[in-house]
Amino acid sequence: MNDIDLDPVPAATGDDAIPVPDEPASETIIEIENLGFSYDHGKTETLQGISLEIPKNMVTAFIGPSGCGKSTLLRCLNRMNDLIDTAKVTRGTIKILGQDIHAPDVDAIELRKHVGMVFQKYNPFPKSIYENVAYGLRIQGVQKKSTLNEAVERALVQSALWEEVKDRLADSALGLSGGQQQRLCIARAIAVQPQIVLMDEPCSALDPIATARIEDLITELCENYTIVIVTHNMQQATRVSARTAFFYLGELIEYAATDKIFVKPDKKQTEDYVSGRFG
Amino acid sequence: MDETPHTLKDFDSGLARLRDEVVAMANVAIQNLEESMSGLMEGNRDKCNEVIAEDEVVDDLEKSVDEIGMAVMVRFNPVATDLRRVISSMNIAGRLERIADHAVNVARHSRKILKTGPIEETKMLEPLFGLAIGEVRDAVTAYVDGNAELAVSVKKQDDELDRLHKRLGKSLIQLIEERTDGAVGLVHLMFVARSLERVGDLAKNIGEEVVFIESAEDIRHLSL
Repeated sequence: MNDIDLDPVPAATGDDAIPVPDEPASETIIEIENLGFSYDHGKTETLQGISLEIPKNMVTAFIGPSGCGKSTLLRCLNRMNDLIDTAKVTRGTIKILGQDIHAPDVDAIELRKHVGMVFQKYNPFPKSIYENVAYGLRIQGVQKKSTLNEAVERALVQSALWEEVKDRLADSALGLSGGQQQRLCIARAIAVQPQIVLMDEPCSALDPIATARIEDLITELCENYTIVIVTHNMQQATRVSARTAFFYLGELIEYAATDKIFVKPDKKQTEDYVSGRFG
Repeated sequence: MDETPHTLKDFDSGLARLRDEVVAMANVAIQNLEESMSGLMEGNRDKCNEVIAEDEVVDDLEKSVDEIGMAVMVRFNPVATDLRRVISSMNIAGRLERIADHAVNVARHSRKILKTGPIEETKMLEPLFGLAIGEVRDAVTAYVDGNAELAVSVKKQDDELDRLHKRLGKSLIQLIEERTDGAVGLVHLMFVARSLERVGDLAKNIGEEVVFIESAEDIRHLSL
């Protein structure tokens, strides 16, 4: 991944404007071309010839019924599926900033520094709030206290958690509420300043208020990060994403501006799914 | 797109209730318009009075459509065609309420005309009325059948109605200028003609809503 020209991530501005869908000036950060993926050594394809381009600094939502392959595709983007012995990419490519992430010289660990992930169930480490956020930097070898302090504060500010925890950074992360723990996980993901943050149903275990805070945070974070989110919540996709991809049985059925998907999709399958008429 | 049943049966029931209420409203509005014109043509004041009294029914139906529409939106968060159907049904109800108001206008002016006795020139309004009521019927049929083609045709019919209204207006003005007495009745006829022209506009608007429901195309303010 060292070949990738990684621009430094600018400081958060706090502006909450969502980029206009289909804005032609938007730069592509992830290019997926004819991707096939299998969990059983290639016998059956869970993903079948997926091609799509994900724009930089926007929120892209993956939607579709359970088993459609959306989470599988998400986990392909930072090669999380490499951890499964029988799993393999059967065809096609994924390029991030023009670099094929499956090229022999690309290290998966290095890739994940640039493509962070937030999971469905918040999973803070049984450590202090501070150590959770500093964890990624420490394993990257950062030891200087002032650098760590600065990075932890920046990540907590960007994840809208700083005001709530600044006086108890040494407390256990497990003492935070569910919503706070999820925002802490987001802080942990962005502390290492990735370019892309993948979110796999990040609000499914949260109450409506905590969900609203995370959604608000997502729209702010896309100023500085590219976000790809898997969600079963249609309303959430309409609220937070600029573009939406609908998957069914391992195929990409339709990919377009979120407004289009939810107002006038081209495919009947998409319309049936988003409007709850899926047989 | 063909209608696949919704996973939630209550949602489909809500949409069906909304459609039925709009259709009920359309039936009353059409009937009131016919009765008001029939009152004028036949010199029947009772019919005119009935139309004025009946307007409350249309007002109540409009409120009912809005209530059902809002309940469906709150409960089911419709999207795509479903969302357009709910919003446009509420808009159509608003147009139908205005059509019924024009039926009341026609009835009120008719009563004033009849006060001084029927006038021969009333017959001049028949073609205008025929076009206006035809537009309303086609627009409502297009809504019920989801027929965008018929809905578009209403827009074209309205151009014809506008031309006829203009010609009729000129003729009535000429008659008023020539007339030494009995001109007041002709002025009331002009108001009736104006109401019929507005009914045509509202029917055209309903047609535009139907096109929006069926194809998500906004054809308002477009000349076809």
